[in-house]
Amino acid sequence: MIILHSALLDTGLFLWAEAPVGAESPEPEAEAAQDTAVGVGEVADYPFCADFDILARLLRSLPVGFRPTRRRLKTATAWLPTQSGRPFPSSALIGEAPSGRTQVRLIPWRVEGLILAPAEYYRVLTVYGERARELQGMVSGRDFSFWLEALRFAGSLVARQRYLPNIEQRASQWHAHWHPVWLGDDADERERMARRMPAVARALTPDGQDGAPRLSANDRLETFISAVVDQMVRRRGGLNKAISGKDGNVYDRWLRALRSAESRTAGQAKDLKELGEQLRQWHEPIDQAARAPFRLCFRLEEPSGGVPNDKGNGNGRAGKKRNGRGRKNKDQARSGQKNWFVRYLLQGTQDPTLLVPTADAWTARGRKAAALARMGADLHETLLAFMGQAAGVCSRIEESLHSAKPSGYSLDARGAYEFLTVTAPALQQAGFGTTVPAWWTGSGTEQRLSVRARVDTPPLAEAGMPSLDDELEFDWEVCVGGRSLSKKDLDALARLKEPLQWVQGHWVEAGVEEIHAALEFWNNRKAGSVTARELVRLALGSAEASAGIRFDGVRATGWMEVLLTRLKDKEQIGHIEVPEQFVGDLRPYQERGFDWLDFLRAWGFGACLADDMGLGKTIQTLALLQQERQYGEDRPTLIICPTSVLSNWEYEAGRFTPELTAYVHHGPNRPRGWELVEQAQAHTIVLTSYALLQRDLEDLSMVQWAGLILDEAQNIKNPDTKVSQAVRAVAADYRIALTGTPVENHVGDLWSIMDFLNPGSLGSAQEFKRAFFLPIQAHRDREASKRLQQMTSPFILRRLKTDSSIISDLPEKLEMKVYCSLTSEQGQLYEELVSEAEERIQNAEGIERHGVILAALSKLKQVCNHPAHFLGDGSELRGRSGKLTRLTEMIEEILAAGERSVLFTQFVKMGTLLREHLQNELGREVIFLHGQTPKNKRDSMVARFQSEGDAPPIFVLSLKAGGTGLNLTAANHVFHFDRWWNPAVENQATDRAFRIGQTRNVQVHKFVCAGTLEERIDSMIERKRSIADDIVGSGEKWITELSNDEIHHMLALNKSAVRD
Amino acid sequence: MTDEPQKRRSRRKRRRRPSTGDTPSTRSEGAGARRSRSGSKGKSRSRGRSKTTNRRSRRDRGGGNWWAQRWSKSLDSIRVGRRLSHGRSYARQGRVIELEFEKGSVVSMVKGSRNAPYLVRMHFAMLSSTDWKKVLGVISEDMELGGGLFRGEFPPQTEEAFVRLNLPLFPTGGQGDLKAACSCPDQANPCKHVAAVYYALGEEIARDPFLLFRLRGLDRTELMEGLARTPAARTAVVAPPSAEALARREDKMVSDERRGLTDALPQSQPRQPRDEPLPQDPQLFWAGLMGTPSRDGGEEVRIPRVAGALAQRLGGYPFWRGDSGCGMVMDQIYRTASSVGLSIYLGESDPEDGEER
Repeated sequence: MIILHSALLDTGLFLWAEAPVGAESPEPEAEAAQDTAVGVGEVADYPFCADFDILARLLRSLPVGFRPTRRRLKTATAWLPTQSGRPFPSSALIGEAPSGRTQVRLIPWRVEGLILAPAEYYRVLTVYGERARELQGMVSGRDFSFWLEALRFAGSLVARQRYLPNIEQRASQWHAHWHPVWLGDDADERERMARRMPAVARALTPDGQDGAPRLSANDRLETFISAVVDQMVRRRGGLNKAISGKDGNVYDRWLRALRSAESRTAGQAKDLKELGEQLRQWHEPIDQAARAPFRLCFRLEEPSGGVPNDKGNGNGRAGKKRNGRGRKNKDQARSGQKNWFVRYLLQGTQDPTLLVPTADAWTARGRKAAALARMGADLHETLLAFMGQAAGVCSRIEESLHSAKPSGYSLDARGAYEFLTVTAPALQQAGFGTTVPAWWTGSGTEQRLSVRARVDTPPLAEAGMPSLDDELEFDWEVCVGGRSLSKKDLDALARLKEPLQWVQGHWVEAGVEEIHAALEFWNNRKAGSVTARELVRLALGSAEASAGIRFDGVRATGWMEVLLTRLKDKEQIGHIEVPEQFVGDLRPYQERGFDWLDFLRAWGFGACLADDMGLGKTIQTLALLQQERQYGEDRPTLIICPTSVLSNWEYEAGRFTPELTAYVHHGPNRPRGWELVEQAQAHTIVLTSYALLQRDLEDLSMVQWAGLILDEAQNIKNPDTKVSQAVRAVAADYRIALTGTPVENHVGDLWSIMDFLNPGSLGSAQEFKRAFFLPIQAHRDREASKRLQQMTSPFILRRLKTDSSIISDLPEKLEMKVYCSLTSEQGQLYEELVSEAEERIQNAEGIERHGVILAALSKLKQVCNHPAHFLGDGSELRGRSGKLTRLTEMIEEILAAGERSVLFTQFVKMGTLLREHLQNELGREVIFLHGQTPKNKRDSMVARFQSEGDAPPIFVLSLKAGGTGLNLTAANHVFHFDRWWNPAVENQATDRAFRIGQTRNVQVHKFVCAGTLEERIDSMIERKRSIADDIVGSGEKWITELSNDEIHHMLALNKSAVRD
Repeated sequence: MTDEPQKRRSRRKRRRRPSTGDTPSTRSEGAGARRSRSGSKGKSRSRGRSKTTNRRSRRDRGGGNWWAQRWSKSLDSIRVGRRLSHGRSYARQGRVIELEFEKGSVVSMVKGSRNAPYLVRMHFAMLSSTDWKKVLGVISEDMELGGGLFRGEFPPQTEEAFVRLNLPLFPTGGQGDLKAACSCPDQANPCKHVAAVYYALGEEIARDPFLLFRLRGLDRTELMEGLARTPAARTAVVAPPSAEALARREDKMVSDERRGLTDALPQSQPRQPRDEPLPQDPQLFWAGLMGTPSRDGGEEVRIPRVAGALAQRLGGYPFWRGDSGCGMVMDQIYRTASSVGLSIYLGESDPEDGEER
């Protein structure tokens, strides 16, 4: 694992990394040269600096556009906090911090890496930003992430066109470049961002330079943003051949340099200087605006007199008179005409609520104007300049400047519409403030002319069995704000031909096309028939404007009304009894989840159950499968899940729905073709993994499935992967996705899952991106996000442990068994060990027999934990242990929720492996406490784990050392990775987290390897426990008393539980 | 202002380039076009004109540069008109090697028949500071005029302000209003060298009408400062910059040459780099201050409907003198870059780099 760092060094970005000392050195590269870095002077090499080749390998895995050969290796001096001659690494993942009493000082250390020119680092950062998730063993240092964040900020500047062309002299050369403009909030935002810059991002100097770098974070950030803005813009010229070439004067050459990769502008020094001066003068007004303590703000004011009172006829009335200028205009206003007005105001930059009409500012009247004056700026000078500049953007403003003290201009509805759609955005983009009425959403008026479908269906009781595929007749009606319009209303609108009209008590954007579309709908009112499914989509707001007019849902009666009500409000869904055959009780919230699943299943809708980990998604699903049988379903249901949870499903199904037969489609000898079909049809539940679904897709598709259920459905969040495509290819009557991650929070991920559940419901991926992803992510379009929520929420049920309605249903401590499988490697080791042990047990007696048995138990448990644990060979950890894979998945989910975990193992060796593996996989610090940990260190470990903020989220403890005394209430998850078989000891350990001070529910996850001694002992304990708790109170001793036969039954491996 | 000519002796030199004269003029696009003083290149300005009074040239139908027309008309009144065509062909041969402006005067080198160039000097009558106060007072009565000048435009009402006060802006032909002298032995007045300078000066003025103010003794800094005090402080004195301000400016000037370029406007001080020592606390050093990214509270990130509104605010690209069109190219760049910026903002890679993959 390495931690990636980068710091600005002159105009380049120095890329380097940290790696733990003693980490395997990388295999030698073919191009490795002999001239590696040689220490210069007395600056020592930073001991945690990662080898250049590791960095080079990372870069080679990304399309960075250059070859990171060893020739590019550079060294630089990093000024790092150091104590008693030892540097502090950035994280405990890298190494231990020095301890001591001496003062921490910044000392130069040599680091190696490579220096990237702006074009290169721009590319590296953009590519890395997009692909970071795929890179294994790579953690971004805070400084590196900081530059990624700054890059996004620069992106927003470019998107909003907050930059201007410029020329600047560097050394003796003149360079054309694009320069960010810091207006309004952007300057503040930059300063805020700079305050968060980790110092390491500016702590490097070129070798040989004296003294630590001192340039402020703000300056460095500005340099960086300026460089990446330039990179983003300069290659967009689409350089026209007609004007390329060497010819033209200095202006032409400058413009070309702005558009090409080469910024250098050739020419006579004099000419270049003069151009530079002209550009400086040209920028001056903007620079002035950026410095000013206030800005000019334009406020669109509605016609005075408030709400017009002719609500009845929907008659647009604003702007009948359209000659509003000068004195005439004033007269009209006096005579009660409704007129729009754009008022000029001064707005404080620091305090945007400080708004002073320019009319007052000219005369410095009023308290607010005085406040402005106190800002110390030359009010009139600035105001005058701003007015002049605004005139360049809008000709109406220019016209208004004929008077000596312009305060605004009046306009009619058409003008107001133009102001809203064109002028205001342009003014805003040019750095002026704008204020528009609240009913204007940025993309139109809140209320629009819209059509909705009207459908009458019989009551549910008379409807028989309505289906989503039923064709239904419907009418269109035209409405505004939920109230329908008559033909007369529409005709009136059409006559006025105003873009903004007063209709039904709202200002409504009503373009000619919209009105025509509305009339069209009116004239062809019998619009025909459509499927019920399509109507539901319409009702949930799926349809955007089509044929020039927007849809406003469906007004329904009868069963359709009932269906829509239940979809929109889950509370309306009726309650059904959990079938008797289901063994166990559902908690109240689980019953609600079951009802909901049943309701959607009945209609054939897909459902995404996204409850928090531990709330029982599996149980709710199993209840549904049982209920399905009661309805007479005889086709099997396919459940697809990660290999690591196959066993768990099998066991849960066996426990809660013993009447349902489950078949796990897995292993090298699994049936194929018709054999598989028969096998599937003979069972109720068929379980398989994502990997095998892809491989056996053809065979699995031949089965008639009742339902298709995806566990850990976040596996298909990327729609382009083969898995996503495979799951879509399986036909089933209904689909369910289970996931513990908050899908609804990731707009991009949502589409894939929803499209799997209810194909087409969110449109194509491109349509979705255009209609939702961009508006929501980039524009924070509240309307789009509300609409998306409306469309998806009927099909997503997510409850959190912390929901007040859930908390009351949950016990404070929730114990769960987590059944894992062995990998084939583990299975093989296990079998070898068992046969060897049995032989020795048979030949031993008495105390020796006890010893042999206990030794065998210990070895088998090690194999269950991990082959590397048993072998002790320091080999690769990933993908070789079912338990470890499952643990990693679960912890990842817990980390995503921002929660902390405590892990117990009885083996110190395993604890070390867990720490190493989790740190490498998750890039988060893991602390490990065991018998050898000195007392003072234990205390500091506990204190760190319990601390607020950026504490290490995972605490591994050996059961013996950590089982008692410690207070670890910061965790609300407790894992028992291997078992002591002594409930008392385990409970004591669990109570580290579950004790006074714990404010949340605690989940206890006890890991069990299916088909092994672990499962057998576990079930034996469960059985005996119900008879008498004290029998098994003594750990593993009782096992040694068992007969050879009993021992054989206990140890023997059930091979069908081996999966990988 | 006008009372300290030596100290504020600023020069604007211009290397003349030979004009070819037959490229059709291209107007700069964008917002600047409407009131551009920049648009045309000035090369073909007077093509096909035999008389300076006949100003119906191609360029003028574009509706701009009333001041250029006005300039050549005013030359008529001082009897240069007829000789201007000689001057034009002379100037087009690239014979005006250098053109320098100071307050109230023009110094130029013109290559004649001999090896050594001739020196041409012109002197304009400068307005007194009192007169300038009056002019600024009149200007500030009209927000549009004042604002227009302030943002670098040159509205036709500018001359009206002078006319109202009976003060000269363009050459009047009056006694001592404009004097020209040439070092050539030619007896004709104006000689063709002077005529060439008139022509070249006309080109410069066409490009930068504020030169007229300067030739009358008010440079742009002073104009801006003066305008800034309007309209409320209409009667305020148009004072020269304080000694302190001058000293500050002086400090910044690296050389005489640079000085000529930097004193034209009130300076926007580039933000001085600030020192900020690195923190020694290891946590602060490596991780920085914690805090959530705050971008979410900022402005909407949306691709603007109008491209390059900032440039619009600056009145287009008035400085542009290139052969190709500027506004259209710029708008195109702004539009394309916007969608790239949006991708980057959303954490995607540069779409163009993607194509290379």
